[in-house]
Amino acid sequence: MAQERFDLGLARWTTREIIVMAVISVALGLIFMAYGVLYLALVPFLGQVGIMLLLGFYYLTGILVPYIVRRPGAALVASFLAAFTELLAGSPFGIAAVWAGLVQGAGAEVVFALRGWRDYRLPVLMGAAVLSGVFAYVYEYFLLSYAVLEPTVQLGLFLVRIPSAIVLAGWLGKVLGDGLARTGVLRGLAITRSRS
Amino acid sequence: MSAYLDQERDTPLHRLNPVAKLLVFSCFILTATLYLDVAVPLTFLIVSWLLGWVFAHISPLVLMRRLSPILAAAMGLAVFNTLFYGGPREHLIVALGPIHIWREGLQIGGSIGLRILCVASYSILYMWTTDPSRLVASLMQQARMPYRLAYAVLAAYRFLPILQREWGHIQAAQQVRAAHLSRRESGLRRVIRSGMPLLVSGIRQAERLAIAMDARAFGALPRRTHYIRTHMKASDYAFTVASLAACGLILLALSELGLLRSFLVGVAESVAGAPQ
Repeated sequence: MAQERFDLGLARWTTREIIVMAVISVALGLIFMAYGVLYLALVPFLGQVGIMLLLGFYYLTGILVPYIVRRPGAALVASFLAAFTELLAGSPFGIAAVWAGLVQGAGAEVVFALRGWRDYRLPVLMGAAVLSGVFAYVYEYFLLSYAVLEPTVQLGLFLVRIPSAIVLAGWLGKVLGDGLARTGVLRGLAITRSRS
Repeated sequence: MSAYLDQERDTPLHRLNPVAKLLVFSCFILTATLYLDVAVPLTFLIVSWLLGWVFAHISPLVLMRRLSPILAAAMGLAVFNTLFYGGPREHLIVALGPIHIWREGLQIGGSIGLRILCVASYSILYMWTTDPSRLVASLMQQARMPYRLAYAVLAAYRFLPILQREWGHIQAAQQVRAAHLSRRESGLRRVIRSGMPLLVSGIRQAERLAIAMDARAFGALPRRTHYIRTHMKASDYAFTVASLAACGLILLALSELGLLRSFLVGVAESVAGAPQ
């Protein structure tokens, strides 16, 4: 069969998987925009380091969608789509968010790839969330020039986001995925097939 | 929705190929990010206002007003970077107990605050002057995005207003049942409580849409035709090349004026200065 030159493996997805991924990513993109208002409002109270406790939520798309459709590339594509939604919906950080989405998705994708895109148990989801955070840190390191900060502050910006990623992306991704599976709307997708 | 206020107009910036515009704007943001002085992000911020004014007939005042909500975030970052500046320091300005403010730190704090405004200004200008359907068409035709993904983006874009309305319905429905008054509810539970119904209703509609698309043989062939055609015209190439050249000239002029301090030099200095 003729292949597109560059299809990210999407040719093997069913149409339903593609659209479900898109809808979840867009919904999360909208939620991220609402969350962003809250996030910015809380910065004065928690400080720039303390606010990293809330940052992990932004890695959720790259965990929840792969957990549901279980396809190679799902983390990268979904994470990009959620960020792209923010751009389309007029987020003031739109262009920077799109690049961040790609970087975060790539981080999660690496962990899923290392497990052969077969293992979606909770520790793997949490590991993927953590690597999302690590990749995002590298991106922010350049975008916000973390290099000029005091070394302890740099370390704080890195470390505080890790528990946040584990809970707000890894654990929450599993809870939301299982919850959605229980409602029955995901019938026929990989997440419901695995739990015979 | 104010985000889409100006998308329909016909100006040079609106006509520009969306991928070329994304490339140029990303390039401007990247350049503003690579330098640690106030001059570069400030110049590129002003350039964004001029671009909007000259090529899209958007008054700089309108763009500035849209930027005002970001001002607090930018100032927060500026203060943070000033207070926790860890690079080489020579000129002490303020010493109040544990708080030391250095001129170098203040300068870099200001630079990073302006950088955030710069990112916001270009992002807003981009969405004000770009029709989303043309953007996706151009991503497919010029940036070679796989069409299955591009149609997912388009479908998702169609879902935006539907999901926004749905979100309002969910909030209203839960308020009627006084769900928001439950005291023993953590913030996380609240996110799950309103997020779940949004996802469930979205997924239901996704299933119907997928059946409709399958019935029209979506994805059956490796290539497809397009309703909206976008091209890289001579004017698009000219704008891209001219913008990148202008970007280089601005940097050259600033360095002649002695206003440049590159990010990499700053990193090298801060690494060298760290043990002190």
